[in-house]
Amino acid sequence: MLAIFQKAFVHPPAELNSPASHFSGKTPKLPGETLSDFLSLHKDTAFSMNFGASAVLAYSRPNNSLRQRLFCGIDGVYCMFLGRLSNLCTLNRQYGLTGKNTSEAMFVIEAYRTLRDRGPYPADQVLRGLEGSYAFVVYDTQTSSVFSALSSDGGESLYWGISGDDGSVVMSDDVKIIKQGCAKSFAPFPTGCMFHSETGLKSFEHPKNKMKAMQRIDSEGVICGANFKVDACSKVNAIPRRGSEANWALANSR
Amino acid sequence: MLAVFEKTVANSPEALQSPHSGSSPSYALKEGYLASQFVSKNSNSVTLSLGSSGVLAYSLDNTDPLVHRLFAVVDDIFCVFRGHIENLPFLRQQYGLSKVTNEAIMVIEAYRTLRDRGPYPVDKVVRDFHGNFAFILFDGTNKTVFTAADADGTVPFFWGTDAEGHLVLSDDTAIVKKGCSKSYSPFPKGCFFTSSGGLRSYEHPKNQLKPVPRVDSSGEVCGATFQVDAEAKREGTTGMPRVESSQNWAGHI
Repeated sequence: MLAIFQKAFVHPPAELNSPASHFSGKTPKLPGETLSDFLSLHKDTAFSMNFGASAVLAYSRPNNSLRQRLFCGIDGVYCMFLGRLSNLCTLNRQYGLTGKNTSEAMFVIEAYRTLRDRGPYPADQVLRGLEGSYAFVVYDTQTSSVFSALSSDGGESLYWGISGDDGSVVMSDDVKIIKQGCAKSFAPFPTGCMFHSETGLKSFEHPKNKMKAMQRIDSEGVICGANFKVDACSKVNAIPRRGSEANWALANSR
Repeated sequence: MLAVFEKTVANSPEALQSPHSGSSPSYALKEGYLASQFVSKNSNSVTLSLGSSGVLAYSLDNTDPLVHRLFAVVDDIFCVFRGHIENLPFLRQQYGLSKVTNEAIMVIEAYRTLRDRGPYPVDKVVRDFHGNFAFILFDGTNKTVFTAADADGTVPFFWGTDAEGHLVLSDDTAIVKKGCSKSYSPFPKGCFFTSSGGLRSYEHPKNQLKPVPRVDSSGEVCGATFQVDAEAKREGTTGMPRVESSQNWAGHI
C-alpha cells in the first residue's frame, strides 16, 4: 500500500523532515519515482489511482491472506485498510451497515463520513471503540483531506515520510519503499495516534495531551525523522462544557 | 469516463476494426496516451492504472445534477457508472445492500452475485435495471470486463479498438476518436459485453448479433453497429435448456 499526498493540503508535522536527507548520499525521490518503484515491485497485482496533482493512491493485492489489506472507494472517499477489526459486527450494527458484505474498509469510510458530516462524537472516542490491530489511510476527495490512524497495539506497521522537493507526504506499510522514497525524512507512524490533515497529529488514547516529537538517530548516526510520543505533562485544554448539540466534526475538533 | 482495456483482458469484436485506420494508427494504451488526453480535457479527473490490464479514468466534475456519474471500488471490483437507475431501492433490497448504496455499488454487488453464485443468467440481471445508464465494470481478481448500456441509448456511450487491438470505452466521442481513429461506433443499445461471452443483447439473449458496417460522414467505413439478427440464434441456446433450481449460471457470465 502506498499513498502520496501533496503538502499543500496535508500539513505534515515539520519534525518529520530531516536535514540529513539532502546531505547524505541518497536524495529523496520524486513522488512519481516512488510510485513506479512500488508498481514495479508488485507488477501484476497492483493498481494506482492518480488524483490530478494532489494525491496518488496505490494498492497491491496481497498474495497471502495472513494480513488483510483492503481498498475501497465509495462516494469520493477512499480507504486503504490493513489488519482487522475484531468487533466489526457490532460496529456495523451501530452505523447501520449490513453485516454481510461490509468489510472493514467500507466501515471506516462510513465512520469517517459520520465524523465529517455529523460529528456526534469526537474522533478519538470513535477510534477507541475499534478493537483489533489495524492501520488505515482515508483520503476524501470532496474536502481534500487525509485521515489516518494506527491501532495502539502496533500489530500493523505504518510509516510516513516527506519526499521530493515539494515536500509531499508519503505513507506506506512497506518500510523499503519509504526508505527509498524519503531518504532520511521518515518515521514509523506513532501507535495509538490519528492524523487528520487539518487538525494534525493527536493521540486518541490521550486526546487531551499534546504530542512531542523526539528526534531519532538511525544506525548511521544521522537524524532520521522523528518519533512522536505523548507528552504526559502538557494538556491541550480542560474538558470544555458541552451541550448535547456539540459538534465534534473532524475539521472543527480541537 | 474512459476505459482502455488490454486485448488479453477484453476481446473487442473484430467488426469494430475499420480497414481505413491503418493510415494514421492511434495507440490508446501506449505511454498512457489516451489517459493523458482525458486528463488534459477534464481538469478535475482521476486516472486509475490497473497494472497491465488497462486504464480507467473518470471526471469528478458533476455539472449535470440529473445525470449521476459515479465511481466505486469494492473488493477489487471497479465500476464507473453514468446515468440513473429508477428502481434502485428495489434492487438494493434484492441484493441486501445498506442505505449507503448508490448505483455503482449496486452494480458491483450484482456482478459479484453473478460471478460467485450465478442464480440468474446475466441478461436477466441487466434487464432488471430500469433507467438510463451505461456502466463499465472491471474485476481485478479475474481480470474481466463487464459493460452494458440501456435499451434506449440515452446515455452517450461509445466503444472502439485502437491500433493494437485494445478495447476503448467512453462516453466522450472525441476521446474515442482520438484513441481509435476510425475503428469505433456507438455501443449497441440494449446489449452487454463481457470478456468471456463477448457482446450479447439482453433484450434478445438467444439471438445472435449481426455487425452492420457503418459509414461516417466522409464516406469511409467506420466501425460497425451491431443489430439483433431476428433469424439467427446463438449456438447453444436453441430450445429451452432443461434447468433445475440448482442450475449454476456462474459459468455463463
